Formats: sequence, C-alpha cells, structure tokens
Amino acid sequence: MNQKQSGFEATNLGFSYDGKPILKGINLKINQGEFVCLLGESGSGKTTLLNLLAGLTKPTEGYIYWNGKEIEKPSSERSVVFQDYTLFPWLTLLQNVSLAIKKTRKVKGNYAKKLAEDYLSLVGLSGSLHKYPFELSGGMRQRGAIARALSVGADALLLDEPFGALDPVNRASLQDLILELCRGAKDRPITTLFVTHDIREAVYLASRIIVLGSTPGRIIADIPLNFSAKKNRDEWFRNEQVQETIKSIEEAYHKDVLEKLGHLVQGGASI
Amino acid sequence: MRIFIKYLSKFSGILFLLFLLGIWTFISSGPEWSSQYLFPSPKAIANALFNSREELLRSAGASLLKLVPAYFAAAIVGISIGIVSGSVPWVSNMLKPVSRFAAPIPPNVYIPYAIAILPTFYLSSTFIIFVAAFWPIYLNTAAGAAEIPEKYKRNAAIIGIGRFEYLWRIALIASLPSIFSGLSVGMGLSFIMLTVAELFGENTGLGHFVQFYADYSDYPNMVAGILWTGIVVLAIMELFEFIKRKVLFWTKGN
Repeated sequence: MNQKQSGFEATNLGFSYDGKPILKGINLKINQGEFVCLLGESGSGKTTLLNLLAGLTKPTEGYIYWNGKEIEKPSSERSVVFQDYTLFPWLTLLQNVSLAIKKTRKVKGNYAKKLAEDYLSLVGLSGSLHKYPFELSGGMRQRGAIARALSVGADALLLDEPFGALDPVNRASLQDLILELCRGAKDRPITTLFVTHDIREAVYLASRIIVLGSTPGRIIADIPLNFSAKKNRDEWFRNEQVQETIKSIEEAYHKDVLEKLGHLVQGGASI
Repeated sequence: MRIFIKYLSKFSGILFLLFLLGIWTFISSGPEWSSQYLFPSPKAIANALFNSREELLRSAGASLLKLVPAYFAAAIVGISIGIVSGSVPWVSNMLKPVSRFAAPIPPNVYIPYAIAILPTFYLSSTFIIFVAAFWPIYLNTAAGAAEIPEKYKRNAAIIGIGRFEYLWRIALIASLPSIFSGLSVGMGLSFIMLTVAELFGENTGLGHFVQFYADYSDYPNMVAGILWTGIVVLAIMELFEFIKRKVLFWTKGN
C-alpha cells in the first residue's frame, strides 16, 4: 500500500455471516474530503460495509485500509452516527460530548467542557446543554450525536441512515446541517460516508453515489455528482440534471431487481 | 351520582381498609363463635402498640442491625460479580453451573447448617440474609450487563473506552434498571429470611418479638408486632422506591 494514500480503500472486500455472503468483491476507493452516499435496498449490506469501514466488524475476505493502514478496530478517527439514538441516556448532552472529547483528545475536564459547548452550538443545541436525551426530540438527539461524532476530531464521518426516523422537516434541516459541516469545511475536509435508502436524500447530499445491489451486496453503480450550491431546495430538485440523475439511479435499481427475477424464472421457479 | 362514584373510586383504598377494620372489630367484639382471646379488639392492639413502643423500636433496630449489613454486603458482592460475569463470557460460563444449581435452593434450608458452623446466632442470621439477597441481585445484574444494547458498546469503542473502564462507566450504569429489580426481589427475600431466622433461634428482633408474645399467648402484643413489622417493611420499601426513582430518572421514555 502507498503510505501517502488518504481516505478509504477496499480491495476484493467480502463479508459472510454463517456461510451466507453479505458482501462480495467490493473494490472501492474513497478519497479524503469526498461525500459518498451509499444507496441500496435493505439486505444489500450497506450497514455491513459501514461497520467494516468503522472497524466494528472484520472482513471475512479481502482488505480494507484507512489512510494506507489496515483497519483493525474502531477508532475516533472514523466516528459513527447510527440511526437509533446512541447518546448515553444517563448523561446530559454536554456530559455526553465532553466525555467523548476527554477520552479521545486527552484534555482536561474544563477545556473538554468548553470544546463540547462549541460543538453543541455548532449543531444548534447551545440552549439544551444540560438536557438529558429523554428530554429531547429525535432530531435534537441526532444533532447531539453528530456533535459528539465531530467533537472527537474525526477525519471521517460514517452515518448509518441517521435521519431515517425523523419527520420531513427535521430531516431537511439536518441534511442541510450535515452538508454545511462536512462539505463546507474547506480547511479540513471530512471524508463522509452516508448510508441511506432514500435516492433524493443521496442526490441532495452526495458528491458521489455508490449503489449496492443485493444478494450478495456488490457495487452496481458508482456515480460522481457535481451540482451547484443548493440555495432553494424545491427549485434545486426541479433542476433537469438532478431529475435525470435520480432517474438513472432508479434504473440501476430496477435492472438489478429484474436480473434477479430473471434468475428465478430461468431456475425454473414454478408458479 | 357520577361524582359520587368518582369519589368512591378515589377513596376506595381507604374505604376497603375501614371495611376490613370493621370486620375485625365485629369478630373481636364477640359473636358467640369467635374467641375474644384469639382476636383482640383494635383498641387492645392499639394499647399494646403504645405500651410496647420502646420494645418495638428496639426490636426494629435489632432487626435492621442484621438486615442492613447483610443486604449491603450481598448488593456489593452480587453487583460486582454480576457486572463482570455479564460482560465477560468466560466468567459467565464458569459461574453458570454453580449458580444454576445453587440459586434455586431455598435459603431457609441453610439455617441449621449455618447455626452449626458459625459461632453466633447473629452471624448465622446475617449469613442467611446474605444468601437470600445475593442470588437475585447477582442474577439480575448479570442478565442486565449481558443485554446492554449493542449501540452503547459501539459508542464506547469508538470514543476509546477501554475494557476495564467499560465495566464501571457503561456496563454498571446501563444495567442499573435490572440491578434495581434484583435489589427489590433481594430485599423482599431478605425480609422473609430475617424474620424466619428470628422466629427460630434469635432472641432479638421483630420475629423474636412476635414469637415471644405468641409463646405467652399475649395476642394483643403479638398482633401489634405483626402490624409494626408491616409498617417497618413498608417504610423501607418506600425509601427504596424513592432512591430507585432518583437513580433511574434517565430511563423515562426509553
């Protein structure tokens, strides 16, 4: 491996569970600063791929590298936001974030608290520092989780359907927030992998979309995007180029599904 | 009418208590088939409660002197071993055969052996209470620690919480809801074993008070002893619930 390489790289990556292949033959390179959305239907191994990149799961085949080094265990360099709210419920927002800072940056309590306050105000939670997760709405909890994920000084942010459980309004405002935080940071670009099954969300956020097909999960499309800044959401979605991109992804999906059906028919499935 | 029913429902608990008191009064006031001797009147019981107040307080103190150290020792040992065994598979596998066998043994069958082995009655009763409280506390703690949601473990791993720190910073706190159900069951069992031990061999405590007056057929004092035991247990349980609510405030809406 080239030591200067930054970002993720996977070669012939595979993962099986109980002898059943979940992911197979994944070859992938994600450069530093890219915002990649990982699309796929349920069962396509999106979450498994994210867990492999995070180091929470170990591959059963192939290799996976972060900045040229093999990924062996979870690290604060690659922090994760999950769909189910994962702030520790017995700690306040401020305590949750400052605990993460204290553990990862090895700084003193007061300074950690100060930094935590900064990160929480970055996600618009400066008014709720001393609230416990049960006192917060789902959207606020996810903001807190994002603040915590960023606060550890991560170079990569891995998000597993983070807004899947939110209502549309909260969802839209959190999408804009994550864009601002990840793509807006020019001085220190954060490599982002965002798992979703919502095509519109993916097109809105990503600088590149990777589509996974299922059984077993493998890459069926890899689409670079280069859209202008998003000022007005509704207008932006009416853009012809955007519409076309959405359509082409839908087609890739359908082709995968049709192919699978074809296999079934050829296999002599009796109806 | 509807308002009347609403009030009736609100005060039904107190009304039912008064109803039971009425029945007791009726029985103790001597229909021919009853025995005033065995069923002392509420007034006689109230007198006994008042006249024996010092002895009752002393008995409660003596009982607590056995209960509290034994129960806290069981809590500390049970929670510590439970957290480790719920978090570390090989410890759990090592302890499972023993706990599967020993936990269901009713603790009162240890009493004769405890009296034979330990030098004093005090030590035997505290030992029996310890055993009674230990198993539910240990088993519930271990089950709680083993079922900590994956998401907390993953977060702990990402922010770099090590294996040892995980035990007390995450496992212990995340298991508190199950720890408290274990503590509650253990508390109930330790009351039972406390009074059983005192009825048998002790010469102090609430169980001894009841047994002593039963031996002398002083039923007003005996019933007073039972009522007083109820009051003491109720007070401790209320205190327990209060602490539990304070500690588990964060489980709301989870």
